[in-house]
Amino acid sequence: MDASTHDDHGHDAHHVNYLMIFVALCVFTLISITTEIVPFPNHASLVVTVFAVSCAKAFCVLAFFMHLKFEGNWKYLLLAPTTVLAVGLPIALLPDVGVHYYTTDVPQNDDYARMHAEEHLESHGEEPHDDGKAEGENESAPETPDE
Amino acid sequence: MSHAAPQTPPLRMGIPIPNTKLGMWLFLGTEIMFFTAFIGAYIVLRLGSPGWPTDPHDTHINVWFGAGNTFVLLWSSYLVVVAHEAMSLGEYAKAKKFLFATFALACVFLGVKGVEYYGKFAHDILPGHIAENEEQAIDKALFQMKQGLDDEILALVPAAKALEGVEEEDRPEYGTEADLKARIDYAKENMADNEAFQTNQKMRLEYETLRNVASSVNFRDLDAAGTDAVFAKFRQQLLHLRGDVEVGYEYEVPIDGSPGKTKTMAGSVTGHADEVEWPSNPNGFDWSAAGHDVTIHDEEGKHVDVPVHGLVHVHAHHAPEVMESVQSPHPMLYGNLFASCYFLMTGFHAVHVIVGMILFAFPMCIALNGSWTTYVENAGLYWHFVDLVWIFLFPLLYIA
Repeated sequence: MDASTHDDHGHDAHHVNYLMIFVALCVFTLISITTEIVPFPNHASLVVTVFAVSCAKAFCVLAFFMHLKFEGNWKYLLLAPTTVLAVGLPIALLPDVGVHYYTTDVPQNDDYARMHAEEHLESHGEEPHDDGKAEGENESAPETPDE
Repeated sequence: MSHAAPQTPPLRMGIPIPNTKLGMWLFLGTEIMFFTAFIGAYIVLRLGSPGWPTDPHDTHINVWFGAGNTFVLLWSSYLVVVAHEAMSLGEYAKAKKFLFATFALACVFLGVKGVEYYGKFAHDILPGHIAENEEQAIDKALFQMKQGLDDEILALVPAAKALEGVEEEDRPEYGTEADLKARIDYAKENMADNEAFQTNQKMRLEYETLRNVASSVNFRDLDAAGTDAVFAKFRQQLLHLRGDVEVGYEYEVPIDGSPGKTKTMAGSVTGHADEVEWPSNPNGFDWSAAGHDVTIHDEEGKHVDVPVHGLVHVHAHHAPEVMESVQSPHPMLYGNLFASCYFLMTGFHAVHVIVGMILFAFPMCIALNGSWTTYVENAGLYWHFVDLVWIFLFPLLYIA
């Protein structure tokens, strides 16, 4: 199929300032990186922020770079089953593995419980066990003095 | 009598886009499900694994590498879309330049990814290689030490001499315990004054001591404090053999809510003897370093400036070469699952990058004309999808 036939189908008739889209994507990426530097009140807010930014970036790429904004309704027909299955998979797995209603019998549980207990003791001002790590190798202790 | 044919235009079936473009979108639909399965599984596994490793010192995840690659892919995506635009306008030479630039950026992406993978291999952050608790960390360190000692013997003592006179069929297999024993026996008789062999034998004794200590402990019977004590002792002995330097220091931090008041904190940094830079006496260890900054190279080669107000203690020891292969024992909970997910997702993404480069290579090699416009558009759609996947992998693996 040649270019003239292709141009009949629509989206190239719309002018898009691709450079602006690219700049917007770079700004979104900078916001993502900033989350590494700026302290967040909790991990959940960080996760929500970075994924909201990712969704905005994905929208820009899909809508403008991939021209879905200017395509016909066939895009819904084509992408709806994919979207349903793609979203459905994690949701289907989540109750079983992610938010399991039973305790998985893995040795990591014991190790985590022990680590958690040590953190609890340290945070309550009790003497931590001398684990010989002396605050760990390669640490940058001055940045996290209270740990 | 004849019937006149109706003059209505023939019905057009299907979706009003080129078949190749429809095929590409259908393919991308399956690709979305392919990557969503990985990403979904990663999210689910991570939520179900309390204590998942997130510390960059443990995982050796460098957010700047990931961010750099994000910019590289975004830039390449932009170049592809303007290449397609140039094709539509008949500016084929311009389009070709954009495609070349896209190809070059894909090479940059793979180069950065290669550096990241090299770091993972160098630190043995590989699926199935990571110690997840203290017992496994001790096992791994002992394994690495034994392997280093054995490799040195295999390099030091030639089989031709050690197994001289032994029939071919009776010769032990290379690297087996029998092979090593034959070589060590030969070296004891004929290479007793060889310095490297002497050091190897000394370190082998150290290894035996450490192994006996480790095997005498039943970790399942120990409580948390007992496990920590055993691990700390083992680690201290191993670090001494490895030639690590442990620098103790004190520093002051402001007390929250009390302007002008500070409290003294103590800490230490461990690094290899050759990697510690001393401000006042670079060739030795000098207590007068107190009051200055000590620069340590961490495992990624970055400088960590430690404001030292008072050096508390210094342990230094020069290690034999054979200990270079032994890594500092460091357990990482769920490290293997993390490494599996990391390599699975980034590996498949890298494969897609390579496929995209192959797609771009074709129009780069020939004289472009209008018949390639749809091809460039389809290759561009594929490339944008590769970019799209990275847009989600970056926060998942590098930030969250």
